[in-house]
Amino acid sequence: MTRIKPYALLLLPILFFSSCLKDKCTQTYTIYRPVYKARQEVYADIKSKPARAITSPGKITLFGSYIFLNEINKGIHVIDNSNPSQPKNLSFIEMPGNVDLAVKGNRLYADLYNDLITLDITNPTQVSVAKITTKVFPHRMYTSGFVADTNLVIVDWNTKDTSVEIGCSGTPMFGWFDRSAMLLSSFASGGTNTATVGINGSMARFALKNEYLYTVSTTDLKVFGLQNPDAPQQLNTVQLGWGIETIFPFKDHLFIGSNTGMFIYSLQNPSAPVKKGAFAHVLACDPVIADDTHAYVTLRSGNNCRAVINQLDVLDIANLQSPSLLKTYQLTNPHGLSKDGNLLFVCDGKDGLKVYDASSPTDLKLIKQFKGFEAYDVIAWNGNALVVTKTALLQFDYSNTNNIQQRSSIAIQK
Amino acid sequence: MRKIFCLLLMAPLFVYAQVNQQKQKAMPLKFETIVQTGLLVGDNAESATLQAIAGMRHKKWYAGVGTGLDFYLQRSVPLFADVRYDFSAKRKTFFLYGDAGVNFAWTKNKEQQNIIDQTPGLFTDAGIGLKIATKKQDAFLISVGYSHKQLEETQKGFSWWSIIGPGVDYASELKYNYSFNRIAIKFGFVF
Repeated sequence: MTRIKPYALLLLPILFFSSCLKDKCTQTYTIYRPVYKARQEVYADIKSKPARAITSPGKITLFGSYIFLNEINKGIHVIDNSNPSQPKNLSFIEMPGNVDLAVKGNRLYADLYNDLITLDITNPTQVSVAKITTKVFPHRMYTSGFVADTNLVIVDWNTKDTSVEIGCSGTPMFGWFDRSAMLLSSFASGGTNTATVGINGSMARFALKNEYLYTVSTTDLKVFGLQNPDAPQQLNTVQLGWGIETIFPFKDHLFIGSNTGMFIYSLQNPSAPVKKGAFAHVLACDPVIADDTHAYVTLRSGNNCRAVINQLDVLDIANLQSPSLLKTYQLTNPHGLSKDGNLLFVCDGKDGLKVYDASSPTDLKLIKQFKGFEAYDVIAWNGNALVVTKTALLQFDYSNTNNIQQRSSIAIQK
Repeated sequence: MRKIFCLLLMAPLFVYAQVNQQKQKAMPLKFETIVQTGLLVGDNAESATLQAIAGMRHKKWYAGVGTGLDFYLQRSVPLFADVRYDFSAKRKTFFLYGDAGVNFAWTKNKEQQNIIDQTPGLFTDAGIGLKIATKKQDAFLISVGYSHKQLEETQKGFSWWSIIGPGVDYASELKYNYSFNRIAIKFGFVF
C-alpha cells in the first residue's frame, strides 16, 4: 500500500484539471443589416452619375471602345477605352442589386435583383431606362436571408463584427451570411465579336445570340426574345440541374459550365434550346469557352468549389453529342479564360495571367506569364486583353505575340 | 517571435558547445535526448502525440528544446522549451516537467476548408512523472500533465459569388480563435 501511494501522485493532474478540459473556440463574423430604399425611388435613380472609384468589380463587358464594368450590387462603371493605354473612368450607372450585364446595339441589359433593366446607352455617359421587366429572376428575391420586399430594395448594408463561442468538434465551414451571399445570379454573353454585341468574360451568366438573351441561374436557363430591343419577352425556361455557373455562346450552341460538367445546348430553335451533349467532370468550379473544334474548361478548387483539383481540360467537340477529354494541364487555381486565334489566356489565380500558344491544343506552350496579381477573368479581343484582377483592371497588348506587355491599369480601391 | 525561435533552436547547440569545452573538466553536464509518445485526452477529441526533446542535464535539473506533433482537431506542431526536475537521484524517482513554446498549425487541405491564414499560438504543458533508470543509465518515463495550445485562423466566408461570379472573391472573412486543453499521458525513453 505504501508503495502505491507515491504513484498516485501521477493522478493529481487529472484530479486538478478534469474540469479544465473543455476547449474554447470562438468565431468572429460580420453581421450585415440591409439598408432599404423605396423601389420607385431606386428606379428613378437609374441614371448616369459622376465616375466613382472601382471597389468591388464584377462582370465585365467590352463594347466597341467602351468597357462596362459591374460594381457588385451597386451599378455599372462606364469606361472609355478608345485608348487602351489610357482608359478613362467616365461615369457610373447606379443600379443596386446588379451583378450581370450584356450589351447589344445601343441597349444594355442588366439585372436589378429580380428585375431585368433595359438601358438606352446611345450616349454611354447619359443613359436612360428604356424598360423595366419585373420579377423575371425569382431566385434573386432572396438576399442573404432577406426576402426582397415588393416596395423596397436593398441598396446597402450596415455591418457589425460579432464574436460568438462555437463548438470545437469540427472546423466550422460557414458563418453567417455576408454581403456577397446575395449574389445568386448573373448574366453572360460571349464568344462573339461582332461590332454590335458586347463581349463578356468567360465567367458571365448572360449570353446574347442574334435576337435572344440567354441567362442562367444556378438551376435553369431563361430565354428572352429581343425582337423588340426595348421590351425583352421571357419566352422559355429550361431546367438545367444544379450548380450552373457560366454560359458561353458559340455559333449555334450554348456551352454551359456547371459544378459537375459542361453541357452543350443547341440553338437550332433559338427560343427553345435543347441539350445536345455533355461532359462530366469531378465537382469543381469551371468556366468554359469553345472554338470550332475544342472546348477549354478550367476546374479549380477553393472557396466552396468543393474540389481538390486545379487544371485545364481540353475537350474534343468535333462531335458535339459526345465531347471527349483530350488532355489535362495542371494549373495553380485557374479561373476565367479567353481565346483569340491561337492564343489562349488563362487567369490562374495567384499565378497571374498565363498566355499559351494553343495552335496545338494537345500541346499548349506557355509563351508568357504575368505575375504579381490575382487574375480572375479575361477578355482577349483584337490584340488587347482585358484582365480583371483583385487589385486592378489591367490591359495587355498582344498584337505582337513575341512581345506581349501590359499597357494600362486602373486600380481597385479597397 | 523569430528571435525566440532562433534562440530556441540555437540553445542546444550553445549548450552542447559549452559541454564540449567542459567535458575534460568535471563533466557536470550530460546531454540527454527524450522521445515520448502518448495520449491527449480532452472534452472533444482524443489523439496521439509524439515528442522529441534534446537538452542538457545538470544533477537533478534538465533543460532542453523539443518539438512534436499533436493530431487532435487542428493538427499542430509545437516547438517548445522543456525544463525538468527530478526529486531524487535514485533509480526510481518522480519528476516535474514544464514546457512552454509556440504552437504551429499543420492543417491538411487548407484550401478546401477555406482557410486563408493561420497564426501560431501559445503551447504549454506541465505535469508530473515517474522516471525509472536502466542499468545502462538510460531511463523510461511515464508522465501525466496538462496541455494547453492555442491557434488563430482566418477563413473565407461562404460566397455564391465565388461559384458564379467573375472569380473575384468578395466573401467576408471569418476569424477563429481556438483554445484546446488536454490531459497529456506520455510514455518516453531517455538516452
